[in-house]
Amino acid sequence: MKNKILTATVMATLLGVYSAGVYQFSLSEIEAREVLQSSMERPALSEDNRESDKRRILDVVQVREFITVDSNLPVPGADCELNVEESETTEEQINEDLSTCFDAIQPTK
Amino acid sequence: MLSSLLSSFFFLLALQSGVAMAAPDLLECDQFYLATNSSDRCQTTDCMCRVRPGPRPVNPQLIEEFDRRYSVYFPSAVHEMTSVQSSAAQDYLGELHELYPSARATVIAYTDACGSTSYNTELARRRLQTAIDELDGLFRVTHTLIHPEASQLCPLPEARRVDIIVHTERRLTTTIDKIPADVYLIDASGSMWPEWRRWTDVINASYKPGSRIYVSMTSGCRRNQRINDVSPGGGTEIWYAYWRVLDWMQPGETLAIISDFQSDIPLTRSEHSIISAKVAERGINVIVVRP
Repeated sequence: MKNKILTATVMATLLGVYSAGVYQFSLSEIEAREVLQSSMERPALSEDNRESDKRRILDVVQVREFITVDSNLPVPGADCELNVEESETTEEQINEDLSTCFDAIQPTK
Repeated sequence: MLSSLLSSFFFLLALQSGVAMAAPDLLECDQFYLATNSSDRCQTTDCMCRVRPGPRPVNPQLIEEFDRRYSVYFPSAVHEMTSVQSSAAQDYLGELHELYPSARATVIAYTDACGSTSYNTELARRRLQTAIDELDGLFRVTHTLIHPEASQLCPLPEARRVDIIVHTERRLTTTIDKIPADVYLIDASGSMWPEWRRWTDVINASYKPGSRIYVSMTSGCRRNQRINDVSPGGGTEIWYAYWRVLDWMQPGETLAIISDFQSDIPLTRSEHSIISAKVAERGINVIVVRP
């Protein structure tokens, strides 16, 4: 009898833990659905409100510094860069750039 | 009873894991772009494939089709060629000279890491001069480079050598020829090589023997493929490939990247700094070639 009570208690505890876990993982989904539902019920925003929202979003983006670089250059970590334009670059120019490049890489040699 | 309890526990644990796996957006949404799983964007592993150079045609007719790099190997602490070596070099280079008399050449001299740096620098200079003398009357040497202690290993017979590279008239090919990198990372995205002729400049380049070559592609390449069989295509994922390839390199090695770096998704400032920090931390030398 004691064993049965113990088994039932442990099973109930484990089921409780499991249910809590499932609820925790589903919480954000439930919240997201509620937000979506409420936004569907809400009337459309006016032009001014939309502009105001956009400004607020951009402000947040700027504060959090999610600004992309205008160009990906200069390449991060590069010791030197060689531009090779088929029509414009002379071999002398390439040689000069390469010498500068290897001087930067092997300063002691 | 204990076994039934344990089995119930593991059953519930498995269910719990299933729930966790079903919600990946919760786990990944805040991750750094470079650290996210590249399989989202690339069908290739890590947005790149390791490839092999060549093959050269069996009966080459043009200078581009020849193996234009001639390597001479020396015993330890030796800088002079034997008469056999000299004769073989004259025969091979003479054949190239007949095909393209006005070609220019680059000479790169290497040593291994045995001995002091000053001794190896002087030894590399002497080997360089030997090769320049050998080319007298054949090609004009327009560029030289000494690479003492090219590897930190001692002894390393393959590092006791001189490379004589005869150039074509193509600028990109010539530039790649002249960079003795340990790893070449080539952006093979479609936008990078709109003309097939430009891609052949990459195919025809002479890569340093023993180096590793990777092409950065979102799809359309496979490991150990010949570079001649690669057709550029797909989007640019050079940043992920760059960030990842650093993990496979040893400190002091040189990485040459051939790319325009105009990816669809630009780098953020923080990603820019993270890549710079990783390069510095791993002690890699990076040379960029922008066609």
